Amino acid sequence: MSQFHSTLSRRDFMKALGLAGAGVGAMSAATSVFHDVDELTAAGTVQKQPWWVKDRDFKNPTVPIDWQTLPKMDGIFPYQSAPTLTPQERFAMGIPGGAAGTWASPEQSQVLQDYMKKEFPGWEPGYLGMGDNRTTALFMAAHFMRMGMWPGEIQMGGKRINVQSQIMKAGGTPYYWSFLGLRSSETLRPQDFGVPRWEGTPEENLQTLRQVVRFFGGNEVGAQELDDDIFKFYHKKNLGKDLVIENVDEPEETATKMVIPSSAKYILQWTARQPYESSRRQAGEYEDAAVYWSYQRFPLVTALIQEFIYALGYKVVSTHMTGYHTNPIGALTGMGEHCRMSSPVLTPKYGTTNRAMWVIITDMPLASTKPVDFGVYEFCKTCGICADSCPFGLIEKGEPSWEATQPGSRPGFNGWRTNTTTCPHCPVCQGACPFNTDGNGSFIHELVRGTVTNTTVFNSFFANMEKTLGYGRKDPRDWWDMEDYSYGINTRY
Amino acid sequence: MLFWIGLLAGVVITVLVNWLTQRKTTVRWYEWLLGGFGLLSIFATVQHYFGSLREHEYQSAWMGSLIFGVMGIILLLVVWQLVARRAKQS
Repeated sequence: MSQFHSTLSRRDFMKALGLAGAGVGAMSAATSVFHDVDELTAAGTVQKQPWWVKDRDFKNPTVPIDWQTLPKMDGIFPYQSAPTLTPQERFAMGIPGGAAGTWASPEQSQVLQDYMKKEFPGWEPGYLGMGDNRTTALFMAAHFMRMGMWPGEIQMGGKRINVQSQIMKAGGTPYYWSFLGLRSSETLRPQDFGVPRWEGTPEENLQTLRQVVRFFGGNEVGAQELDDDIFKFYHKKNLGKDLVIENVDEPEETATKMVIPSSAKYILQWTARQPYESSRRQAGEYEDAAVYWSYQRFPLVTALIQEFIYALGYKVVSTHMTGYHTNPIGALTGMGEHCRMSSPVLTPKYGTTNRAMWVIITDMPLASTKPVDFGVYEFCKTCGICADSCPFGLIEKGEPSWEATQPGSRPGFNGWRTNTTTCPHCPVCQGACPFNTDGNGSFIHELVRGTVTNTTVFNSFFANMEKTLGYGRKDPRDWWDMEDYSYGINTRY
Repeated sequence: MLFWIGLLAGVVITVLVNWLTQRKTTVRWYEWLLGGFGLLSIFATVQHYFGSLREHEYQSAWMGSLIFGVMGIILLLVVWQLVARRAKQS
C-alpha cells in the first residue's frame, strides 16, 4: 500500500491550486473578449481575418496595378449570346442540353456532358443536361427571380400573369433593384420627421453595416474611398446610361445618365457565401442551383442594404452587378486576392465559394479596409488547377500579364484574364480551386495556408498534394445523401 | 475533440512518466523530443482523419492519416528502441 502514499506536500498542493485558479481566471477574462485566435489577432478591426492573413498598404494589393495606364472600361464584360431555342424545342430536336438560361451552345453542351461523364463515371446528363431529375428540378426552382428579375409568367389567383411584362408596360424595369434604390413608400427617413440622422465614426458605421449585412444573409464587408483611381473600375456606362460623378446634392437617374453625388465618396463592398457542398458538386452544362439560389437571394440583400442606408438618412446608390469590375475592387477592399480564375475574388476563408461581392456607394463615412495577402497571387502562378480543369481552355495558363490578353479585358494590371466571350458559365472551375476548404475540418488547411502566406517554396508541393489527396470537385450525386446545413452554409467557420 | 485529445495525452504522459520513474529508466532530451514529435504525429493522424470525414474528403482522410500515422509510429518505435536498448545495456 505504501506506493499509493502521496508525496505532494500541502504547500505544493496549495501552490498548484493557486496557479490553476489564476489560469482559470485569466481564461475567463479573455473568453469574454476573444472567442478564438483569429478574433484575438483581428482585435480592433471590423474586418475579421484569419490569423494567417497579412495586411498590405492601401491601394497596393498583391496584384500589381499601374494606376497611370489603367483604362476605364466602356461597360460590362462581353459574353456569348444565349441559345435561342426553348428547352423543349432543343429536347425534341435531340440537341444536347438547353436548360433555361444556359449560355452553352449545343457543341459546348456536348463537350460538358462528355467531360462530366469522364470525371464522374455513370453520371447522366438527364433531359436538360443538368443531371438527374432531382438536380434538374432544384436548378429550376432556384432559378426563380434570379438576378433580381421580376418573374415572367407565373400563376396568380388561378390566372397566368406575366409580371415582368406588366411592370415594363407601366414603365418599370425588368428587375426590382435600381441605381437610386427601392425607396419604398413605407421607408421613411429621420429627415422626414425633422429628426437628426444617426451619426457614428467611420469605424462604427462600417461595423453597423457589417451587422446589417450579416442580418440579411451576407458575410463580410470592406470599404474604400471612391477616388479617381478606384472609379476607374466603374464602367463608363451602366445599363446603357452614362455613369458619372457630379457636384450635385442628391443622386439622380435620368433617361441618359446615372449621377453619383461627389459627396458620396465611400464604397461599401459586401460578400456572401455560396452553399459550399453543392457548389463543389455542380455538374452539367451550366452553373448549378447553388449559384442561382445565391443570385436569387443576394440582389434582394443589396437592395435591402441600400434601403437601410437610405432609411438612416444617407445618400446611397448602387449599380448592382452591372456597373463595375468586382475583382479588383475586392482586392482593394481586402475581401480577397486576385487569382488565376480572374473573375472571382479568392477569399481567405471560403476560397472561390462566394457570390455577390457587390458594391454600394454612399456618403456615410466608412473606415477603409486594407488589401490582404495570404499568398494566393503567388500560389496561382504555380498551381493552375482551375486552368487545367476548364473544359474549353479559357482560363489562362502561365505567368500573369500586363496586357489585355483576352477580348474585352483591360491592361494596366499584372494579372490573369479569362476569355468571357466564349465562356458558357459552366460549373467546373469554381469547384476546382484548392482554396475551397471546409474550415471545420482537418488542421492541415490552416497549416498550409499559414505556410503559403509566408513562403512560396512549398507551393508546387501543396498543389500536387491537393490532387494526390483527392480534394476538389466532388460527385454531384452524393449531395442528395448528405445532411447539408441550412442555406448550405456551416457558420462554425 | 481537442479537449479529449488533451485529456488523453495528459493521462498517458502522466502514467508513462510515473512508470519510467518507478523503473528508474532515464530518457535523454532528444528522446523526449523525438517522442514528442511522434505523439504530435499521432494526434495529427486522429484530428486529420475525423476532420477530413467532416469535410467529406474520404481519400484525404485515409491517405493523410497513413502519412501522419506511419511517421508517428516510426518515431515512437525509434524512441522505444533507443530507451529499451540503453536500459538493457545498463
